[in-house]
Amino acid sequence: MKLNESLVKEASSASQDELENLTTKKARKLYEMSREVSKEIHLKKSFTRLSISEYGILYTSLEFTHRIEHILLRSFTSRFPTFTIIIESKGKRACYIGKKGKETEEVKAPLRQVLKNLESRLEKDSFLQGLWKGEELWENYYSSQYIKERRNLKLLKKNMPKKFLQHNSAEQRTWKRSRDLRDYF
Amino acid sequence: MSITQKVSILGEAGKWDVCASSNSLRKVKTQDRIGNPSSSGICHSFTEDGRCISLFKVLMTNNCSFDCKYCQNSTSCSGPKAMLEPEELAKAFMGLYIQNYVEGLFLSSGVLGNPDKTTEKMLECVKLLRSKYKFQGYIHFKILPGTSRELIKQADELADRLSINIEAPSKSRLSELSSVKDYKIDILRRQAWIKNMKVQSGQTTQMVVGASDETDHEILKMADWEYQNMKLKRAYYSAFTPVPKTLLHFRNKTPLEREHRLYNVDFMMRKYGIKLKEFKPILNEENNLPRGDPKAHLAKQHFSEPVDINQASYDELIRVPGIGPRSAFRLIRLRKKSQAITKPSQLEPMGVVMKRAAPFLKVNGHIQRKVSDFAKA
Repeated sequence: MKLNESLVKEASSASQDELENLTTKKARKLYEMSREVSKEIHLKKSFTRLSISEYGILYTSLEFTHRIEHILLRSFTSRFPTFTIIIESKGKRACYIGKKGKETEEVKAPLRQVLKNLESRLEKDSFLQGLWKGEELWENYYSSQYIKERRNLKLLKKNMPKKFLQHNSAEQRTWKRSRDLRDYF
Repeated sequence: MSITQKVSILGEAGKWDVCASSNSLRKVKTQDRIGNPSSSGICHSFTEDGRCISLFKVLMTNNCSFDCKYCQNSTSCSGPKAMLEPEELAKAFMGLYIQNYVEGLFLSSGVLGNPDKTTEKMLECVKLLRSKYKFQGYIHFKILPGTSRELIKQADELADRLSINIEAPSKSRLSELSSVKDYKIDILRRQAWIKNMKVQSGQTTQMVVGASDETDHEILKMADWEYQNMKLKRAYYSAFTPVPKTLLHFRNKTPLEREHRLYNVDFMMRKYGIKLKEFKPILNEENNLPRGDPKAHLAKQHFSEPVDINQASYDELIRVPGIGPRSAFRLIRLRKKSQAITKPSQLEPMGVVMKRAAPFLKVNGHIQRKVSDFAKA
């Protein structure tokens, strides 16, 4: 849904009662808009995968429909206060850098360059050395959780939007791989 | 055996536990940490069966000395066995958590020798996570039947949620499934201990539906008793699926619709405050819930005629199929502001599912006509 700036402006002067009365067209439209934004925030929190740099940086590159980069970054910095987080917005060609207690920095540069710049100022993080990084373990774990007798692709499609499936290759591979001819008979 | 192989075996062995909730109200103050518990459920992925993956759900080991007839880890089952060392498990979990693959840890285990020995190993892993790895996110800790009070207390201090599976609705039903577990001593007594502990997200339990010949009424009665007496946060129901090589491999699988109906009624008992006795009239001769939506059956029983949307009380509104607590609340709020619903089209935006609600509602004096009305005419 396209953001209706005039409607948002109108909403800021509307009373609480007006906004809560969903029988009116205006309140309904605003409610739907707010739902769209919170849905994107929720989905991004759920399906975003972070990559780990040896220098204690967690980074990812995403496409956004709404202006939620700061909200997402805040959620990750509060979850990982000891790490620096970088979120690249593909559409804006900008990177948002955040760390708990510091103000968010917006840099108009590609992720690789921002990462390189930051890493040159940091030392390797020994904590991250021993941890498992990569997709193999996840792929194995993901496959192990499926109960064949309960197969319900309709529910999967309802819960997991296709565009997120594209970003999560482990799920996509497992999903495709586990379908064979026997499933159709 | 590599860690990925172990996770594959132990993930597969642990997938039958259905609890996927990661809600916790615990507040974390320190900034020298990794992770935080969240107050709303986030699913990081979905499997082909449509179930959410939010937790890293593995067993410490799938070696088990119990003989539960429905379980793939029981003594009677041969198959690949594995065991994760606490450090191994902690490292694998932290890697997944930091990359945002999972929301927390769900740690369970087969009973290797005696429950205390196995629980000590599980606790070792959780302690490692909380101290060495400074993990402050969500942990669901499974209590094994027969675990000592001292170890449960330790688990209570470290985990967000504890659970012990009752598996069956009564002592006699459990004895049909396992000869080792004592329903009252090994399970209910442990639940009573947990009830008096401070565990942040409370305790949950799970029942296997259809592994013995139990009725829906027996299951719901037990769940209701647990909610009243054990301060249970939630009961989970898992439709029985025959697993090859188990002693119940010959038994028919329980239809998923049965599990779904039980969840429906459970939800209405917990969230709507509807008493179990109200469901008794809709049960069939075998004391099972009839086919179809239990709420629709309940509504047919409850309402002799459609209710006026502008006059019905909250308790009446939530009994109408297609109206949940949130939409009922919105309708009442609207009424308090002296605004009335005058046409059915105003109800959809309030969250009412008109397809299901229409036969039970009267809007502005009008009711939905039935085919039988025309037949009479």
